[in-house]
Amino acid sequence: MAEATRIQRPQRWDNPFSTEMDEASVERILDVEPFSTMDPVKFPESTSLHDIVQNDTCLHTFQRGDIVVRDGDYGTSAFIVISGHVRVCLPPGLPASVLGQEESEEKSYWGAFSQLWENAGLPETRDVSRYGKGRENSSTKAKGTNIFLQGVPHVLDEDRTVLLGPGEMFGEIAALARSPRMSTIYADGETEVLEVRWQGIRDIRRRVDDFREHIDRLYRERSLKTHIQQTPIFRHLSDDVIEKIAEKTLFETFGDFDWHTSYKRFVRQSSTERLAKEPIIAREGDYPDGLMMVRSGFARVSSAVNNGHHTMRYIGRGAIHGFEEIVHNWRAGESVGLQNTIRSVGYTDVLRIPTSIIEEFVLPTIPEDRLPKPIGSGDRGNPQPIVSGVHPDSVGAYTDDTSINTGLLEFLVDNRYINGTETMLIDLDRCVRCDACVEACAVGHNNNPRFNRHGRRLGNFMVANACMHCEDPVCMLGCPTGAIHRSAQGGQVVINDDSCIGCTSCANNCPYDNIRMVEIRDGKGDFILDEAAGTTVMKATKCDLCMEQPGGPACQRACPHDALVRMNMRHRETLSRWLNR
Amino acid sequence: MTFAARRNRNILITIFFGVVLLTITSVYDVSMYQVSFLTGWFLLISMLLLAIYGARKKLSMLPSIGRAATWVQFHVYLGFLCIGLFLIHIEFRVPDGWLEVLLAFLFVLVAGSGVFGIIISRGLPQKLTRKGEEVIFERIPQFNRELRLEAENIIVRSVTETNSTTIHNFYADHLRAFFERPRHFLDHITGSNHGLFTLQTEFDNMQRYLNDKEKEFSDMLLELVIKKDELDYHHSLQGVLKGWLFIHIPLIYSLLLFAVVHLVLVYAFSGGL
Repeated sequence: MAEATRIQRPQRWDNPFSTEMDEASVERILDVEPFSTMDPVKFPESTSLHDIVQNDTCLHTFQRGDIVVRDGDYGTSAFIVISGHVRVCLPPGLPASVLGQEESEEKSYWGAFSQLWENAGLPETRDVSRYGKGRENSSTKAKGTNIFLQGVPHVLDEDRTVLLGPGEMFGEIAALARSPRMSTIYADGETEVLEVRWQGIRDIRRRVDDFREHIDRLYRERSLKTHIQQTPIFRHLSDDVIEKIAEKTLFETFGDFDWHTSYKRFVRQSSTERLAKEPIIAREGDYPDGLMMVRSGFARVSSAVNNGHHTMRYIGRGAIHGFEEIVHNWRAGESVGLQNTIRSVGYTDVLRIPTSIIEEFVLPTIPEDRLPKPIGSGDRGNPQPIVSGVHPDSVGAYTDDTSINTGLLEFLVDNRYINGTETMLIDLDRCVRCDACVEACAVGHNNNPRFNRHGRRLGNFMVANACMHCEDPVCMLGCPTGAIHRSAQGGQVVINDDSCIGCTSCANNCPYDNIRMVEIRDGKGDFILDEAAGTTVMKATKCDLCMEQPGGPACQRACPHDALVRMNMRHRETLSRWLNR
Repeated sequence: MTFAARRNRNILITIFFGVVLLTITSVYDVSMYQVSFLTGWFLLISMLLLAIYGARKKLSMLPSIGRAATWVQFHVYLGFLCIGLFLIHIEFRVPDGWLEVLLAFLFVLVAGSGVFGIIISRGLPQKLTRKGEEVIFERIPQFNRELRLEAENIIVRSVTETNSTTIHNFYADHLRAFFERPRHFLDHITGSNHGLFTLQTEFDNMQRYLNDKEKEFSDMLLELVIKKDELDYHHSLQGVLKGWLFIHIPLIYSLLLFAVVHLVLVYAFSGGL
């Protein structure tokens, strides 16, 4: 019998963030703020501050005009200015045309076609020579190839930028919230910047109180103003007014940030029990003391029916609640209560802007014909012009989901499938069970299908076990190496096979069972074994939306009967159209 | 676009092309040309277009060739157009000559299996959806095996715990073959409940000989029988949904082969027409 291939079991720092962090660089970083103020004793030996800096950070030098982070990109690292300065572009930011684009790593047409005969004949084969090479993982490009803003003085009005100097941090919002970058930041002269991947930030936050408080304060301050500015009903207001609104805004958090840990227990309960466990953000009939804006997470909007609650719609980041009631009361001089109950689904960050502030600064500036119609006028379900252009990612705020079957709506919310941005929905009344979708997926992934045509169903609709590329990808939470991350190009949640150490953290964290651990094989078909333990080496696998294939998800294109779709659950109109074809 | 709107649009397009074809053949006929040459070429080209859908199914990794669903629509409506074209080509009569008869017979089989495919593709998925849990076809043998082992375990327990062989004998007489492989194919395809009903009746007949403890085992066994019947249902219907292509596709290639032979012969013996 042939000898099995044996390798050292991959470890957290086998693939450091940068291979260039030598001892001298690490010592230099440890001597500058904020690291110099941290007490190394607070860190355990296995994850020392020194090791974090050495393995989870990367030093970059930028010249004037070099872009450090770009608005809209996904990234899971934060940055600390070591020397020099950077400028943060305030909204509306720079036009896309001057920002450039990262090169795609898509396969060529020939590369895609040749998969037909080049794919491995055995499942889950890997080229082990790729592993443990210590390749860099940092998100910025190699030295000398940074993206450069042409003619900085011409494209930028420096009044619309904020200067950040040594010791200041940026990019932490996107890193911690698993959301897209909110601003473009570029170097203002020669600047040295330390990039810290979020696993490092997480470990430092856990050990150093001051650092945690500092990050939390930045997170709240910076995201709030931007969030308010991006909300349509405030978009026309001046910076001074936005500032005043921001000052009075209250931060509220409902539910549990680690909601995924109790999800499987939660979905087994009855709908009444589930509803009782969803924290109430505002109750039907309560006086609308403020306009509620969902900053992150999801909420269920429902109204009481007999002894239960009827889900009217679900809302997510960017949506507002209570505006109609506030407008009605302001216009009619009445005290009408909230028309629906709003509950946190999982966890929800809410900004509450007091009614008095809305009445003083916002309502008088909106033309009468663009305000919602009075409650009870019969057509309040129609979207009003003022909200028709809600935040680009918003799920809207006013329209009821009358076109989505109530049972299905409850099913999607109860199971938190509303988290998906690429949820695989299958209409079983049209699916002929031919598995063309599975075959197409396998061809694009070296003959390994990355989803299972099976899953929870309601009526004739099934949510298949395929990665949903969640709005809130909790699978990323525990990854020690950053192998599972958001792609900088499209925000897809993808796994870097080279740096995956098979710890199963992502698979265990995924509430929807959409990540599979597989035993990998060498080219001969033998399982690859861990040198020390003699056990098989595992890797996490999941749908990557055919990122490397030209044309996106093959499953949807391959379905001959229009039975399968990848659906962004925030786009309720598209969902409704698809359901009611 | 709703499915109804798409269907209406595609029907209209098909009718339009049908009328265009009729017009062209009429003009051709009036011009004293042999219409069968023209319709023959149209037919051959259309059949080739229909056949390459099979190749497209293997090329889902290439985006620019369009969605498979669009190809299926094209395939279905061009298929219907081909039936009309075929009737014009054979001048609405049974052809003479053994090759032509064979060719016509193959065409009827291909067209018939195609129409059958459309009908089952629209009807059977809905029936599958409404019957029990969703089951992946390839896993059915495994589930069957598990059910059989579970049933045998119940039999062993019933014998040891009740000191009676009544249920064991019943299993040997009525259920062993049922659990061994998928059964009642025709019942499931035709929507009949005859097979399961017969077994349930046998269970009812046995009840009068059982004590309470034995009845518990009998109920457990009946539950497995119902589960197995659901699996058989999925096996039968999914089998048909997959299996019809094993008739349709080889027939297409046979048809194309004989069509080419027909073409060569027609030109060889056309006498300069």
